Amino acid sequence: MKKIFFIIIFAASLYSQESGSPYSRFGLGFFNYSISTRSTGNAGTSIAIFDENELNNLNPATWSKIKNTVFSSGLFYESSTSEDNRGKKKFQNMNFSNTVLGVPLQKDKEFVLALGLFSKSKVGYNIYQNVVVNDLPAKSVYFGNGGISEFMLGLTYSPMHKLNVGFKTGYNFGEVQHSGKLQFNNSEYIDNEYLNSIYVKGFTFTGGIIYSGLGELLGIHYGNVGFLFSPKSNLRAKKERYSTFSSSSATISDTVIEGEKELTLPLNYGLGFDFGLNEKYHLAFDYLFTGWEDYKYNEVNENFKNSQRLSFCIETIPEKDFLAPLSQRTRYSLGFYYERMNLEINGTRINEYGVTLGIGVPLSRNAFINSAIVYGRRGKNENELILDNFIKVHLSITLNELWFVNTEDQ
Amino acid sequence: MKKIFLFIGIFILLFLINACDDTPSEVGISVIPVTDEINYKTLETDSIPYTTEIIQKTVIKSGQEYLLVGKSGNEEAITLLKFTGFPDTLASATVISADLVLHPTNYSLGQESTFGFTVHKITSTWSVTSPGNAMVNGPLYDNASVGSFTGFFTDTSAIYIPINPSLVKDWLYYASDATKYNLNQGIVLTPSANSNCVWAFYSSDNTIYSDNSKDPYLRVIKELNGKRDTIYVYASEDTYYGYSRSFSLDQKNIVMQSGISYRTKIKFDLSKIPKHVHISSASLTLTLDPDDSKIGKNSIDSLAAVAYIYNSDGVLLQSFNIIGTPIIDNGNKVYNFNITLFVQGWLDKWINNGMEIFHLGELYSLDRYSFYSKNAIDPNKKPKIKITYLNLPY
Repeated sequence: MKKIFFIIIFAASLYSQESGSPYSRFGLGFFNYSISTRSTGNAGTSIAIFDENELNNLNPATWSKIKNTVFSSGLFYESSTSEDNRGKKKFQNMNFSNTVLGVPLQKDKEFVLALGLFSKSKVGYNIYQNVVVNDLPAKSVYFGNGGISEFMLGLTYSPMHKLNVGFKTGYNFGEVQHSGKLQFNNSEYIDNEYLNSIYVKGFTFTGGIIYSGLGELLGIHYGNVGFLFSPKSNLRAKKERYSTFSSSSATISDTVIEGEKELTLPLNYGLGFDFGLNEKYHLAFDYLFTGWEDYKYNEVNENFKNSQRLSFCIETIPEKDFLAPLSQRTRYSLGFYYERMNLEINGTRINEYGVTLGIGVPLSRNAFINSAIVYGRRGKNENELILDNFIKVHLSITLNELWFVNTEDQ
Repeated sequence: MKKIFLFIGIFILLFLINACDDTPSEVGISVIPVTDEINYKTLETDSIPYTTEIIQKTVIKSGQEYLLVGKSGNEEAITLLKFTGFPDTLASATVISADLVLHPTNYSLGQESTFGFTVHKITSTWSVTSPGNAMVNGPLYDNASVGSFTGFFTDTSAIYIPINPSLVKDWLYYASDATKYNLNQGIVLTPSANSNCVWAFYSSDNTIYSDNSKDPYLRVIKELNGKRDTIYVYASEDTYYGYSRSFSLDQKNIVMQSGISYRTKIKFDLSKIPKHVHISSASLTLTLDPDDSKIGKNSIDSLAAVAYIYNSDGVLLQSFNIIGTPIIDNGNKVYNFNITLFVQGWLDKWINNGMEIFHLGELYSLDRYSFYSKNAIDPNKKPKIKITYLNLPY
């Protein structure tokens, strides 16, 4: 049955319908902050939250507490509506989210090796516009899809009691496509179609640290403070344009290939707190800054602004005893986030906010299903902007196994 | 546990099979940056310099539908026919009479009342693929005629042109002797001196009458051993040869002369169009100069433009044809050519050798199509070029 689940995830990754918000037109599309389903259910709050069962993407130091080898894989479904003064458009997507593996190498120093593959950014839009060319009606269609993925490899280490550090490097790769066509309803005019592809590759680096001694200072069950930093990264990107001229008697293709250029991903840093109020409840906050004004591709910034994100969550596991009823052993979380996005269009800054609900069900001692629902809004329906309303449903499965562990550890 | 997995599996599958509406909508167009917009630009005649050149095309004359005979001004056409299918047993037969039987088409050019031609014995070898200028300038045929015709036609009924029986008698003799077989080179029909008309006749290769009912043939009444009968010998080879007594390649107009295959080659200077654009529309409009044109009755009234695609070694790879059909615009007969494919090809891939414009009846008529050039006094009659291209976002 688990195999079937993974097959379905694989099928979903191939399915990958990618229409969506026109806001994803810019740069490399929407970046995904919350890779793990649990952190998605926590509104992305994850900088200072250790997780024994899933690997979140933001702060590698959070992997330190993994006790067994963890394998997880997930997908998400998104239903969204974009509306502006022209009307409403509904989109649905199903996409692969991540596959990650975490292996504890040495428990006393909390050495954990992690590797994984996840979808880092997504572009998806499909828009048309009625235009007039030489007094003839025509239809301009703009279509975008693709995005970049990251294969990451990371390590954690605990240099001293209550201090964990983590480091990861990611190989980023993928293709972002922006295509278009101009369609005439006139035999004297030939329709055109073009595809601009940007192929991206390169490494990014992230370091993180968590200090878990705040609980004693504050007199609470536990308290963590985490910090992450990811410097500016210079990736390489190559642009190609394919255009096709198709008449009734011949098809002529034209390809323009631009040499590799530098694509700069901005630095980001974040600060997070996780406060364990008691055995059952904990509260967490994150602040994340990304310096999008430094983003550049081919020396062009696309007018990005620095983005900031605030998130908050409260999470509970009513009963950790495995003999307790399933509903008591299930993890529940509620979160809220607000993001001042990197987009400024028509002089108006685009913001996004949402509420999240997470549920983590322990199926057995070594299998979990995590789910998260996000309801969010992005932008506004005024000043020639659009308002996106979206619901995302994330699902992932996590399996724990004992690997590379000495007999005495067991 | 299995139920949970099953539930999740079904949940995911439901999403997977849920057909997403992926059609484009106008929602969000205002956030698409202007740099994504597909801009267009239209260039007109003044921005597209061009050169014209009259060229003579070598065309293969075998397999022609029509045989042309006659004169129209300086242009003439002669028809050559060969009859070799005689039995080899008639060397001693007496030829009582012989008639060349032709079927006129409804194409004629010029004053029909003046139409006439004479028939001569050809004295040189020839083939349908190269009837040869020598036939005209030689002349490599007997000046003495072996038959003649004067008159015109109101339908496609057969006409019978009496041929000198002694010529046919020679052919019967040659047919019986393999060493003399090649002496039968047939006959040539040349326009009469006072003829100012061209007429087309069905050839043996015409495809309109596939039952051969309109093919040229020779009707011979012969007598052998006191027995008289009639034999019918169809043309084994036939073709026509068009030529001009005086054709200037330096014309004030853009000229196409059918029958002789004079075409006008037009080459556009596309340097004002940026690289890698998409040509949405490109057209060339020519206005007919009726005073300088000679267009026959029931002629094909369409023109064609052809672009030949060569590789860098000069090897012909492909050719593309487009058709220009006439319309009446402000009392003028104008031809519009949609040259969109050509312009895109010249910009992107093809060596720009220009295009040749010719009359679609180039092989079936002696028509002359003459169009106003850029030298025309009336600007409205000058060739018009309009190219609309798209600057694709990058």
